[in-house]
Formats: sequence, structure tokens, C-alpha cells
Amino acid sequence: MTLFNNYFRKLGNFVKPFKRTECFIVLSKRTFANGAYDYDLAVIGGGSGGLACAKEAINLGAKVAVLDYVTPSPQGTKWGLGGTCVNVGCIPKKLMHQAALLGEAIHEAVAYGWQVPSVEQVRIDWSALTEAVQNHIKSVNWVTRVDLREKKIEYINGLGEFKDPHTIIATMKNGSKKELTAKNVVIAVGGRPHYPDIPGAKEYCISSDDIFSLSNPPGKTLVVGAGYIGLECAGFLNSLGYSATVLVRSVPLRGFDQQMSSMITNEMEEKGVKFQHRCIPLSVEKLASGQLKARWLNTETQEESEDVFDTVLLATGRYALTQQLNLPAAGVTTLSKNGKIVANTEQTNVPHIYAVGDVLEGRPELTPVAIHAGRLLARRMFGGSSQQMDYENVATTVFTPLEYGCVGLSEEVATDRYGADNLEVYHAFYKPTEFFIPQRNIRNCYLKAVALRDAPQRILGLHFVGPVAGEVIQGFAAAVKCGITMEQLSNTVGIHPTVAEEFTRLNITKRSGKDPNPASCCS
Amino acid sequence: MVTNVVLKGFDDFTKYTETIAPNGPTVLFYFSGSKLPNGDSWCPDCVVAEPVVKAFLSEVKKDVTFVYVDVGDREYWKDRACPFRTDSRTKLMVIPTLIKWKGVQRLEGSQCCNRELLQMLFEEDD
Repeated sequence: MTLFNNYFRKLGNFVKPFKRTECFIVLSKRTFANGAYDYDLAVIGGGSGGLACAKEAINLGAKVAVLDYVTPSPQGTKWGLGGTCVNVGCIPKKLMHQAALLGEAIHEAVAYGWQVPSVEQVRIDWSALTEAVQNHIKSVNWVTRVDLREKKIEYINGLGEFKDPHTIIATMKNGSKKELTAKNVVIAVGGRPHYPDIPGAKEYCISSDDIFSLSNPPGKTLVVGAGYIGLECAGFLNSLGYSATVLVRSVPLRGFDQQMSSMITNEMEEKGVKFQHRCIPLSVEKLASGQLKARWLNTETQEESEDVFDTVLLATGRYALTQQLNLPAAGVTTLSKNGKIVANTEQTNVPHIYAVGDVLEGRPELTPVAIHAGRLLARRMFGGSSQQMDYENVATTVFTPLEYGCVGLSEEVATDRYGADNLEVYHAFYKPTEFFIPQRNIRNCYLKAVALRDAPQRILGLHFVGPVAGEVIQGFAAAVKCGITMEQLSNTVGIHPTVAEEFTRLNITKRSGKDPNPASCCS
Repeated sequence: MVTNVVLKGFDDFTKYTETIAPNGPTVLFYFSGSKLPNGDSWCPDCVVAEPVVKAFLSEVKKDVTFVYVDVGDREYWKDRACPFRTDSRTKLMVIPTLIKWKGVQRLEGSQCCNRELLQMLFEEDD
């Protein structure tokens, strides 16, 4: 802000004196908040977006406070600083996915000649797994707290809400309250799992908040919901040896490319995961045995079914934690009907109040998106930058046992936007070299490129189902950002033998009707 | 109240860990380079950190066992196979290192001289 504004604020101080002492020589001092507020920036939410924004802001000379608080889940689970990703999202998910893959690898190793004693008796020790995962998470919580302290970012472990546009009240676990004022506020509160309004949901069911620290092995599990959280959980649970059934309300991975989605659900089915399509949950009750009886309705046939499970995991969506912020007190009115904050450039209708991360309406709910947007926001607030976040062509991966990575448009969206006649879709099935010896299923190893039909055929979307899909797609995300065309992709020489090279070998179009199955490798 | 223990070398360290009571007071291990004849460690960072850590601990109200572990001379430490580096309970990468036994809390190098960070070692777990 300018010296001019500082001057008038100082005059205001004479008229309405503040309780704290002020230094009135600040007119000439080049600070941001010149002492009128406790902080230049208060960030509500210590997750991926909030912490990235805070750390960038402190690097740029701002005085920053971060509020973070975890309201326990209905089952009583809570966690430390770092947000969803670190504690109950990406990190523990990937670790459990890795545990599942390693379990499969032990068996594949036998085909390669490894002498594995009593391989049929290989079992997962759920306690050992959760202990290892939780230890890692706790060490990340620690390192995060040390980092904030070293950078001199004030960390307040309290639930934040607005008292007025520049004042936040933090309520601590013991009920005590702390008030702070800030020149700028960034709302980065993220979201939590949604519980369907059915009997037994909150009493007996768990969510992704609980699964990664579950004190007893999950056993036979019902997963309600077929978004990526539901599928990833069902995937690793099944691979770890726990029977998994998925209730799908409409379609798996709604919003994602449906052809690719069916590839991964086919793979999951072939591995033993059961899918109940077009089904919604009706109730969950606890039996004398301690097990849970779940009832559900097939909305197409109107048929009711039930079964007994050890665990029911709800994965029916997530909602933004905006209700508890008391946004009306701040004057923030730009909320969507989902309760998320509408803020195209991360700025709400109140100029000094911003939002970043999962709390934002219409943006990918991904950690790297929140981090990048948070950093750019801090640079605009304190670094004189004007660079806006580019939310287009953000790559992502679904970490089901056979992974799905993609960047850009799905075939459906591309068709809607450009018309099928203006598109060319290249596709192929492929056989990873490593799959032959253990005779792993290659039926669902598939990839495609959705491109504009006119030369040079700019690529609109890349889709890949297979091992290490995230690693495969990452580099291509940079290529798509540069506007890569099919001509360029076809002229890229592949690395052999890899699965990623299959992108450079794409040459059969859907339109041609030719068989996309490979004859053999190396041709 | 601080109880001080001084250990020298990896064997001493291993033997001592077997005597730690599971529900006893907090045990903090401080790994440092051995002392030269002049009384200072060959490790300059350890020389700087030691008085800060000791002074901080003298103010701590809780019961704490502070275990000073002499890891050895420079040659022993620099060897990549040094057991303090390879053992999963320590996995040292740097000296000085402060480790809270059976906890995830750990401070390395110049972090050991930071009073605010030392304070965090004693804060309640969330």
C-alpha cells in the first residue's frame, strides 16, 4: 500500500485510538501493514495451499500467521499440521498403494526365479502397515512445524472464523480463544468427507479420514462411492487381501474419460473387486457380532440388497469447510451452491480476502494446484507480480492398482467442444515388457491421444492406463503446455523398453477402424 | 529435572537403549563429535550447539534424560558405513543431531542452536 494510504490510516488512529502502542514514525518505513494490523497475512488452513502461500509470503517480507485445526472425524480421528494431502490424502494413499503393489510384486518375483519361502502364506500385517504410514506422516507434521518456526511464521492451532473483515478469532482445543487482525486473509480450509443422510452413516461408517490409521484390519469392506477416492481405496484394500465391494451411484470416475474409467474398473473387477452399479446406500446397522449390515437400492431395478461387512467406507464426495468461517462477518458473499468459494483469480468479493485450494469452486482439487496457486497469489500480494494461475491442462493420476494418468481433455469433453468431425483420436493397446514373465493381465493396458483433426493436429488430451501412469504422464504435461502436436509426438523417438514410449508409437486412429492391438513389440 | 548420561560409541549406545523404560521420562539423545584434548569437539557445529542445548535443558521443568553420545572421531564419522549413519534407530546424516527417543522429533545441525526449535521438542503432541 502507498505512503498516502498509510498517512490517512495514521490520522484515523488519532481519531479512534488503538489499544496497542503504535510507532508513528512509520510514515517513512517500508512495511506492508505499518503496524495497523497484527499480520500482513493470515492464512486459515495449514494444508497444501495455505502453507505454500504462507511460506512464499514470508520470503517476500510479509508478517504471516497460519491457523490450522482438525475437527475430529465422526469416528474420532484427528491429525497434525499439513492438511489433507499429508495426513489423510495423497501421502498415506500412495504409501498404501505402494504396499499393495509390493505385495503383488512378491508373487511376480517367483516367476523371475526368486526363491520366496512359503509364498502362499505371504500376508499383510495391517498394524505394521498403518504404524509405518503414521510414523511417516508424524515426521512430516514435525518437519512442517519446524519449517514454520524457522521461517518465523506464527502457527496457531485453532479453528479460525471471521469476526469482521480484518479480524479472525481462533478457538483452541481447550476452548480458549485468540483474536488476531490481518491486512490480508487467505482462506485455505479445504474440505472434508461428506456423509450421506442414511441411518448408521455417522455412527458406524468410516471415511478416508479414518482408513489410514484404522486400529483394526478393515476386513471385508463396502466402499460407497466410485470417485477416485473410493476406487483407490477399494483397489489397495483388495490387493492387500481385504475383500472390497464398490457401490456405484451413476458411473465410476464421473467427469473423467469414461472409456479410460472402464479400463481401470475392468482391471479391478478382474482382480476381484466387486462392483454394484446404479446402487445407492440405504442404511448401515451394527449386528451383535460387531459386523455391519449394509442395505442398498439398485435405482434401475428398484431391487434392494444387503450384505454383511466388517467395514463400510464412505467415499461419496467432499464438501468445503466454509460454513464454520462465519463468512458473513467478513462480507464474503461469493459462494457456489456447493458451499465453495467462487474466486476466479483467487480474490473474493472482498478485495483483501482470498481463497486457494480445494475450497475454490470449479478448480481441480489437487495438491500441486493449491501449492502453485498459493505461491503465485503470495507473489501478487507481496511481490508485485501479476502472474495468474493457469488451471488448464493440469495432469492428474488415479492410483488404482493399474493406474490411470491423464492430461488435458477427455474424449467426451473434446467431442462436445469441437465436434467429432474435428477430432482425431489415436489409440493403442500395449504389452509392458515386464508383464510377460509373470503373465500379468495386459487386457487393460491402453492409451490414447485426443487431437484436433487438422494438421499439425494439436493434442488436446493424453490418456494412459498402465503401471506408473503418473510418472509416464508428468513429462507429457509439459509438452501439452507447449502445444505439442501429433506430428511432433510421432517424430519423438521413444525410450525402449518403457511403457511411456507407447505415446511415440501411436499411429492407429479410432476413425480408421483398424485393430489397435499390438502385433509384437519393437515393430 | 534433567538427568545426564554420557555415552561413547555405538556399542554403549545400543546397550543403553535396552535399559530405557517404556513409560519413563522423555529421553533425548544428542549425537556429537568426540572431544579433542582442548575440550572442544572436532565438529565446529557441535561446539556451537552444545552450550545452547545444555542451557536450554537447565530451564526445562519436565523430567528429561539427556544422553550425550560421543559418536567418535572425524574419520569414523565420515565413513558412510558408520553404524550411527546406517542404524535405523538413528540414521544420522549430520552431527550434531538431537533425537527424541521413540518419537519423530529430530533437530539437525544448526537447528540444535535454535531455542525456539528446542522448545518444540517439549511441546505436546497434537
